Amino acid sequence: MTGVRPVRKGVSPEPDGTGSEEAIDRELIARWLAGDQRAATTLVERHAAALSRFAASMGGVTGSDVDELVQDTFVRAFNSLESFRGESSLRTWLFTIERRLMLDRRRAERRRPEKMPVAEADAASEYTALDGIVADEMQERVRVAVDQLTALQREVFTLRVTEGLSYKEIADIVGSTEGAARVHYHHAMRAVKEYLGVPHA
Amino acid sequence: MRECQDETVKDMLPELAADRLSPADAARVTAHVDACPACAAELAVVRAAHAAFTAPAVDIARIVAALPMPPAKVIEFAPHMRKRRFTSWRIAATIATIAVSGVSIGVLQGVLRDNKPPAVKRVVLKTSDAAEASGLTVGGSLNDLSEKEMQTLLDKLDELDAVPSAEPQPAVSGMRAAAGVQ
Repeated sequence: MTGVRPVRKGVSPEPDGTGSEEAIDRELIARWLAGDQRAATTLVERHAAALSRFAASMGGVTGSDVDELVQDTFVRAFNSLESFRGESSLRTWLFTIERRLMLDRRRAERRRPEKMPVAEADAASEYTALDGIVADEMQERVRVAVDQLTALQREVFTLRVTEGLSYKEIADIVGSTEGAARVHYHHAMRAVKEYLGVPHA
Repeated sequence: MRECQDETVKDMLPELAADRLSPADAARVTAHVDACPACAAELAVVRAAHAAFTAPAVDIARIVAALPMPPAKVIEFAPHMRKRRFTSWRIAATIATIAVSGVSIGVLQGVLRDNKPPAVKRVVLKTSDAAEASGLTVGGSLNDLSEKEMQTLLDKLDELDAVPSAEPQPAVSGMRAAAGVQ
């Protein structure tokens, strides 16, 4: 199978992208810009879960904060939807906005020392406890392993394994290069496997 | 466990777990994983990570309610722009109509008085005289109208029910009759 390029579901084989996930988003954006508010609901429904998962996986964002972060992401996106040029997919663009918001909040938290004693790993454990999630041992260990990654490795790893984004898309989101995103992912995967005691593939 | 050398397949494992591969690619990767313990172990890690980070539920309705309204599309002209645009056209059309009417009246009066057909050339020369005879002040431009005359003109224009679909043509029937043309 070496050399076979994958055909992703999100990318249409049609030259104009007709029928692809991106084309559906473009159509919905056009409808909203023309005044169709139902298109906004559909767009939110299509991407809210991915944004919520990404926010929760980053650590330090818990319960209602996730809800608020996702809402703020959509509000910002819709405020500048007219200027969205479609050079990346809408989902990639949304992740970029959400990531910027998360970074802004982290910086704001750092300026308030009384809020800082909660470590990121503790915050993740707190989220788990608060939401009453009873994960199996493997999933819990994976979460702990991911928490021990650097912030950039965690972003790249999470976007890759939870959303299946390409290295190009991840590079666009984190402001890096495709090659750097690939390296970060492989380092992250190696670290997670070592923590779990899984031999390298 | 031997390390897998097929980087292409290894790169597709996250997309397989996220269900972002085409059916054909998904089948090929799955077949490879079934025969490759190293890739099977990595896929297990990827799937565990995929499952570990579930998406907390968000309130879709609340998010949608917080969104801005779609940008308004300006379809109609602003009221003052619309009136100005059509008023100018109406003024031009009305002045032309009045001028032609004045000419026609003048020609007819001349015909009745002299009982002989005037030349077409004379009709043209009589335009301003005819307008004066009709009691209307028809100048070369709108600047010649007083404020009151302009207001009266605008009021009459607003009363018009129908707007001609084309520029009005001179009423040539009177001229043709006066000129004796059948």
